[in-house]
Amino acid sequence: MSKQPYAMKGLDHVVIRCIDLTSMLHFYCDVLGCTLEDEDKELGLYQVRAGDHLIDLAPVEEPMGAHGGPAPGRDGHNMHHFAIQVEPFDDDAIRIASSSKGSTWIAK
Amino acid sequence: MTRQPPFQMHGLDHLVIRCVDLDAMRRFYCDVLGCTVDRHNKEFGLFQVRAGAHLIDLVPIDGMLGKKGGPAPYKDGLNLDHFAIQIDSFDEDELRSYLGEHNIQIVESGPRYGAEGTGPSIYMLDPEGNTVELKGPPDPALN
Repeated sequence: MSKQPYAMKGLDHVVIRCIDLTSMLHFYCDVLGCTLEDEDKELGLYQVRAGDHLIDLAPVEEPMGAHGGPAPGRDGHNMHHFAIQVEPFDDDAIRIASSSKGSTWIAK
Repeated sequence: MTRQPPFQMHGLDHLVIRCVDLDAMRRFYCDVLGCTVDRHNKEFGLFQVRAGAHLIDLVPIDGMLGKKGGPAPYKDGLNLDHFAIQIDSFDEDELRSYLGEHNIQIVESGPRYGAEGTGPSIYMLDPEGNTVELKGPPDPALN
């Protein structure tokens, strides 16, 4: 078998299927600090920048998100979670800033 | 005054995929795509492969971590539409021929907007139906 005709650089973006775009944009932009970079309303794809990479939101009622059938339920997900690198990491400061905007933390 | 996040984002770090058949997934991500095994924590049921600067973690649904997410991923109603991996060079014919050797079909191809701008990309399915995109460098003519 031949070798891959490329070298991998790393992740580029993840595309999350969502139900309520407004609350997702509030979380990713207002709480986490992503910026809305591009939106394709015809396709139903809303791209926010997280540092060097993109997190794309695809509402399930719009054309792109509709490809994946019904909305994600409480279980049976294909993605367990994803991670964003941040710096600095001050647990208490992050907790206070995010809870002031209505986000709750789950124990890990 | 709205409080700013007390950090700067560097970018994505890893993503964690729930899977049923770890061997088949490992073969695809390592033998076909070229990821390398980074760590395997059998106690947690976490198999981590490196994709360049980042990790793709595979979590079998019958392991400690995977059980928390309930049943195996459904055919639809998924939370992840797809994810993309940046590659350093992009020759579609070569990619098609290489992936063909592994019986992997390209399901879609064309220029796409990604984190570094618009550039060529291909989509394929991993053994459990997750859509994986390989994204080439941005094309100056398209940006």
